[in-house]
Amino acid sequence: MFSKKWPVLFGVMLSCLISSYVLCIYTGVFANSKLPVAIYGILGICFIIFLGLYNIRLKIYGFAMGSAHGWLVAHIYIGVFTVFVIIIHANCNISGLISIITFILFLVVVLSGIIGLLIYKSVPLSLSKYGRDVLSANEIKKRITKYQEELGTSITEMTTDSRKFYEKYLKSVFKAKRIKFRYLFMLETEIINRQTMKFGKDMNNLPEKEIYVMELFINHIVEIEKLRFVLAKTKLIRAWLNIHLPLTGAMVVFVIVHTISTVYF
Amino acid sequence: MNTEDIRNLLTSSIFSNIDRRKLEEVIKDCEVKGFNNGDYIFRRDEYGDVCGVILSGMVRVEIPKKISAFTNNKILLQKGDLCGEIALLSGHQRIADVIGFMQPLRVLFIPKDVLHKLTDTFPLVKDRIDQRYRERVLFSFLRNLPIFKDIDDAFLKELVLKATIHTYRKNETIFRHGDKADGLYFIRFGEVKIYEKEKAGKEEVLAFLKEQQYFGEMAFFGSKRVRTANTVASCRTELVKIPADYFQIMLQSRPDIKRVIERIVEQREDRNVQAHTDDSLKKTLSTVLDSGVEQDSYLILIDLSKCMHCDNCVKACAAMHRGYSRLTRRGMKLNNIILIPTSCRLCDDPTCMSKCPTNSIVKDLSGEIYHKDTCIGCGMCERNCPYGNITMYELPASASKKWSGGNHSADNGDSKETNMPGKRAGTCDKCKGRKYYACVYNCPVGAVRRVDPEEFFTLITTIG
Repeated sequence: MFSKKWPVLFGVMLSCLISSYVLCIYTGVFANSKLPVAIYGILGICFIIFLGLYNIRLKIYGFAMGSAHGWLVAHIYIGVFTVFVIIIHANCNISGLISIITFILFLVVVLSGIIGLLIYKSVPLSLSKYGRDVLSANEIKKRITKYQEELGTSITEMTTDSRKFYEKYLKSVFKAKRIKFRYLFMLETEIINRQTMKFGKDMNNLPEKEIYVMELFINHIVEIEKLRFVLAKTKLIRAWLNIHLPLTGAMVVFVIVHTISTVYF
Repeated sequence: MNTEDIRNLLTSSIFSNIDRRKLEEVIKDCEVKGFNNGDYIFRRDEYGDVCGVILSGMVRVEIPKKISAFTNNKILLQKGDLCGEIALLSGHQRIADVIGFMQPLRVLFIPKDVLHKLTDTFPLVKDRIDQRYRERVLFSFLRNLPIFKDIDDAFLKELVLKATIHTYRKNETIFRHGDKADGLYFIRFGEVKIYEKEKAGKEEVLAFLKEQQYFGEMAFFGSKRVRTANTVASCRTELVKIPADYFQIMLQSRPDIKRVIERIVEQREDRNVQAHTDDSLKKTLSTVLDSGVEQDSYLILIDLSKCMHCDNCVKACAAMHRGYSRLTRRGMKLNNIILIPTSCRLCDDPTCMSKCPTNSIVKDLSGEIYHKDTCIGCGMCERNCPYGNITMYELPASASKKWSGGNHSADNGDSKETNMPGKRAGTCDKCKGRKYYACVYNCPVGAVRRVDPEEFFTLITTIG
C-alpha cells in the first residue's frame, strides 16, 4: 500500500517540524509570541483541508488528478503528520471549551482513521481466502434474491417431513433479511459448518427421494449464507465510512469555529 | 475493370498463363482504384483483409528500418507486382506503408474470399503467391531473429531456400512426443504450448512460447533424435521450419549458433525439471493458458488480498463508458489471490467479429476490438466468445434514449429516437483514447493492475 518515497518524505517533514519546535522552545519564541502557534495552526488547517480533499478525489473519475491510490497513501501519511502538527500547535496547553472539543474530535477522527486502516487491511484478507468473485452489494443482494426465489417455489411442493425439517433448521436462515452482526467475526468455513452440521442427524429421517432435493436446498442456503458473509464484510467498510466522514465534518466545523474565535477574541 | 486492366493482369508474373474467362469470372466483383503519387494504398499497422495487384504505375513500399532486413528500407514495386498480401495471408498487421510512386497508378484490390477462390481455382496462382510470400517474409523474418543477427547474407539466403512456412489452426498439433525430429521451428506469429501427457491423461504444461521464439531443438541434442514433448498451436500460428538435415549442417558449420542453441537447451532442460516437480507451477500454467490470457496485449489483474470491494473501479469504468461498466470482476483466480477478470483477449482471429450480424465489432489499427453503436444487443458475440469475455449490458435509460442505431449520436449529443435495444454488448476497451485506465487509476488501494502478459508469465514461472 505504501510507496517508498512517502516514508522518506514523512521522515524529512517530521524532522523539520520537530527541529522547528525545538528551536522555538530553545529561543523562547513560544513564550513571547503567538506567531509560531498561529503558523502551526494554519499549517494544521491546510493539512486538514488536504485530507478532506481525498474524499472528493474518490468521487471524481474523469480528471487526471493523480491516482486514487497515491491520494490514499498521501492521506495516511499527511494524516499522521497532522497529528504532530496539531500537538505542537496545542503546545500541551489546551484551554477553552471549543479548543478542547476540537482537539478531542481531532483525536477521535485520527482513531477512526487507524481503525479504518485496520479494516482496509483485514477485510480483503478475510474475503480473499476463499477466492470469491468480487461482487458489489447490489449484485450480492440480487443473487440472494435469485436463490430465495428458486428455493421459494420448491417449498410449496414439500412433503410434511421435509416441511418440518425446513421449519426446524432452514426457515430462519432462508427468511432472514438482515445481515447479522455475527458474520463479521466468523470465518466463511465456520458458517458452512454451522449450517451443515446441525441438521445432519434429522436429514436421515426424510423420505429417500427428498434427501437429494433437501441437499440441493441446503447447498443453496449455504451459498446464501456465504453471500451474506461477504455482504457483511463489505458493509463494514461502508459503516466505517459513515462514521469517519461525519466525524471529520464535525471536526472541520469546530476547527472553523476555533479559528474564528481565536482571530476575533 | 476494363479490357486493358485484364490484359495487364494477365501479363503479371502471378496471373500469367491462366484461363482469362475463368479469371474474369472469379474477380468480377473486385474493385480497381486509381491513385496519385503520395497516396497511401495500404498503411502500416492496419489489419488487412485485402491485397492489391498493380495494374499500371509504381508504388513505394516503406518498411520501418528496425524491422527491415534490407539495407534499403524503401522498395519499389511495379506493374504486375502483388502488394499487401503478407498481412492478408498471415492475418497480422501490415508491416509497411504502400504509397503511390508513379502515375498512372491503378490497383486491383482482391479481398480475402476472392483470393481463396483464386487459389482454389488456379493452383498455379497459389504456388506463385506462396513462393512470393516465402521470398518476402522469410528473409526479413530470419534476419530479425536474434540468433541470426550477425550471420552473413549468403548463409541466410541459403537458409531461406531450405526453410518452409507452415500455418496451424488453434489447438492443432505441431508434433507429438516420440515423433521423429524433422526440424527446428521458429514462431513467426502466434503462440505455441509445449506439454507432456501425464499417465492419467492430463496435460502437464512445460512452456509457452511466443513470436520469434523457437522450439524443437532439444530432440537434436538427445541420442534418439525423437521429440521429447507435445506441441500445439494455442491460437492461429505461423511457423518457419528449418529441415532436420539442414539444421544439423548448420550446427556443424556454425559453432556460434550451436553455442547459443546449446545454452537455450540447458535452460529449457532446467525449466522442464522444475515444471515436472513443481505442481503449483504446472497447475497455474495450465489454468492461465486455458483462459487465453496470453493473447491479451495488456492484462488486467485484481489483487484480492488488497481489494476491499469498494466498487470504485466499477464506478470509474461506468463513468468513463456512458454509464455502464465494462469491468466484470469475475474470472480465473490464481491461488485465490490474483483475479484475472474477464476482459477482451484481443484474439488474432476473433470469432465474435466474424459472426456479428450487424458488423458492429471492429478491430482497429492497434488491434483493439470494440463495439460500435450499431450493436443491436442480439447477444451473438457473447455466445461466440470462447473466453466468455463479452457481457450484455442493460442500457441505462439516459443512454437508451440517445441510442442512434449507428450514427454515433450518443457521442455527439445529436439524439434520435428509434427502436432502441434494451441491451448492448460491451467488452473492456482498455480505456481506448484515454491517458490512463479508469479502474487502475481510481482504485484507492492499488489492487487493480495492468500488466504485460509476458511479464506476468515470467512472474508466475518465478513464483510458481
